[in-house]
Amino acid sequence: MLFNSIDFAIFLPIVFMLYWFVTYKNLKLQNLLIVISSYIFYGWWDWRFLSLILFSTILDYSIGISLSKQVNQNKRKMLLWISILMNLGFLGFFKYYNFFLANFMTAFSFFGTEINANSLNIILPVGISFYTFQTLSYTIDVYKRQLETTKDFIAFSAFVSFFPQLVAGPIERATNLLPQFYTKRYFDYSKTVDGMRQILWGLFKKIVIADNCAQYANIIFNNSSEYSGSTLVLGAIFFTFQIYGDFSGYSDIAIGTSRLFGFNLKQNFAFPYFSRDIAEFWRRWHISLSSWFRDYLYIPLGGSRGRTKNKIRNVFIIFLVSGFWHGANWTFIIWGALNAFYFLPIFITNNNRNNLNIVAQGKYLPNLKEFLLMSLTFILTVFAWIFFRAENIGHAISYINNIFSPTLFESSEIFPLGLLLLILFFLSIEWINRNKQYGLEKFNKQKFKFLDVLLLYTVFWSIVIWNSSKEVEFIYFQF
Amino acid sequence: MKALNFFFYTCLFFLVGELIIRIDLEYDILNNSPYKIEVKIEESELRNKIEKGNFIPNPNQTRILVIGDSYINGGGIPIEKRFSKRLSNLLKEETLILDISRPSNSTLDNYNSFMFYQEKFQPQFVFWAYNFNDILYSIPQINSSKKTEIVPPKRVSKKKIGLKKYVSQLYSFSELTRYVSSKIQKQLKFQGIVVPIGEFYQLTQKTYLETNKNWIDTKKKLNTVSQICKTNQSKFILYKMPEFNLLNHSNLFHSLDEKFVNYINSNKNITYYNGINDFENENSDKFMLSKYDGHPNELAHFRIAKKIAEYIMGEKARTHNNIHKE
Repeated sequence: MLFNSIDFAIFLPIVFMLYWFVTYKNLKLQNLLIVISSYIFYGWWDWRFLSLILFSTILDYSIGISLSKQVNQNKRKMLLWISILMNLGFLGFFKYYNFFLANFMTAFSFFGTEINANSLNIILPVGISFYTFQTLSYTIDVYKRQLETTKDFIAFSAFVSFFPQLVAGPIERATNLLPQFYTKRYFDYSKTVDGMRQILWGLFKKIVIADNCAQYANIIFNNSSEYSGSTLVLGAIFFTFQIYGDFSGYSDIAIGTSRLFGFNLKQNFAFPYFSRDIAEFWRRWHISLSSWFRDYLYIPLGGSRGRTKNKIRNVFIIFLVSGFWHGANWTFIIWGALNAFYFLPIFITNNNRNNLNIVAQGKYLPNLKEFLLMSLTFILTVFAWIFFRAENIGHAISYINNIFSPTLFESSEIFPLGLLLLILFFLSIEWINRNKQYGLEKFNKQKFKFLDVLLLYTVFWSIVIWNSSKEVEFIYFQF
Repeated sequence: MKALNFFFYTCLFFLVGELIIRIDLEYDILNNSPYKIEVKIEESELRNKIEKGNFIPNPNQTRILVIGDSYINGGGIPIEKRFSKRLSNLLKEETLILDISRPSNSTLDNYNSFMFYQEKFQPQFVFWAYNFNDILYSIPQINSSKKTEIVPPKRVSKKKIGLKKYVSQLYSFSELTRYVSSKIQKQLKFQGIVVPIGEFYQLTQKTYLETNKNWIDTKKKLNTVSQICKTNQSKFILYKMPEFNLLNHSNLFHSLDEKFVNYINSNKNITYYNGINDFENENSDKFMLSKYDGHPNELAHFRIAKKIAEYIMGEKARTHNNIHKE
């Protein structure tokens, strides 16, 4: 079920009503309702893959219980590896089997050995990368004794399959989300209103910004050889806003929906395009995934401790794995590597934690230095997105070659002024609220109440009027 | 105070919407209205020749006249994949197709086109793609010497007029109301729900009545065409085009279909195909151009062309056999 579909517009109020009016007295019943609703939500897409979620739930629930009973460290380690191998095994099979097969065949044929193996026609289960990482976080935290084992199967199932963030994140940690299923939730009017505002903002990002940018980005990327360099730059910029609007829009809807049910999810995007360097960008982009890799991969590898050689290795590993997580294509790996190259100079010179606060804090506008740094980071990010969007490496290289041609200085064949103005409007709202959790968060001061209402209405009607008339899937469903 | 506040913010809500829709209508902000289909009228050499009276029919050629609106003309479909081209490719023998379909043609336009071209082109097959909304046209007035009967106006309560007037005024003034209501109706229609107001409901439920002047006139025109075809020894194929975004909701057209079948049963000179039957149990997604619009896509055109090609080849084989027997 898509968040931007009629089905979801009917589904959500029904679940909301049942949750607060029918099951509100009984916590177990509320959790059970969440599990059932989540399975319906997921099954709407393809019910066959519900078995995968159920299997993953049973596996990690059982391993969690075994870990709590087991004192022998070797056996505990073995249990942890069973969980990791099983979960990543499913992910690997569904997501990477054909990629590895094709690359092995190419590699062997390079050395003169022909291997005949058929690739499989595999459907990638929606959200498998997200819920796999979420359940893994539970088992790892229990193994590290950072989290109590749960004996409540319903609560654990609800944690794994929680529908607002099941298919495209945020990847919630068990330490944050699971305890919320144990405690009674009370209806909070202001929290509900806040949740609805965040849903509205998410829909605006997705429907108005991302889907409209997608129309131009698709045309330009699909026919890149026919356009001038300036148009290709515009195409890359449109994709930059498409991916941001699409993914952060999904996160906003997920977080907002969770708030309707009394849950608090962590912020997943903190205005990343206002970053002053690439390290800041990665602290603000897909925070739940970056922090997952930091805690469960980067730090166990040694993190920023030890010799420079090891530090560089760790940085490369984390960025390459992050790229590969997005999909079985070399373009994602190159995208990850490119980000590692961006990151390394400031990391080696110990400048990666220079910009921890939001830009121009307490001021209306950034100073010249901040503006130039923001612009540079944005340009580097746009450049990297070309690899992320391209069909293959060859396409990305030819796209870049065509940009850096004499036609770069010609006027663009495509120039949708209206859409560019909408993006400007969107960025302005995000800029004004950059110190908050999301762009449309309520203004604190009473004197801005009228402006706040006006903005809310404008965003609402923009969604109604400037939607792209299609229910376009979220990009991150495929990851 | 609270009530006043509520009223103020409600008015503001609609005012903002009205402002945004008017800005969009004025400046076309996103420049991508989904229903904007560029229509190019193809002026063929053959057509020019026929219009100038320079056309001499070749007895070895199968001549087919195609009549209809944008549904069969193929708006939004590459030229090579449109019905006429497909049909021409499917009929392997030498075939000459004159496609005089035009977007927005009504029954009256189609009838006039037929009358103009049939004599000069002398088709052996006339293919008329009928769209259920082709019935919407104004019947030309014939001067009558009869005195117009003066009918006293009906008494309607003042209150009712006021409310109706108010609603219609609001509707005609507010771009937002028009936009939102049409969007809701389209969305509902796609789900198979028809609101008993609006053009679609009128067309499917109220227009194809035996007392409706346009339906009577349409039948007269179809009778004339079929009669002329019979006299010319040509075949008249009437193909009722389905709404391709509503294939899953064929029940919306039941009453209309019934009326059509009743008429066809009374006229044996027409070879009638109800397109809905050709796409029965099929999913709209496969054959539509847009979910808010009934136009067929290239796959639908191909399927219709195959059906018609089969019929034409069958007919030709039958005629050929008859000649041999004689």
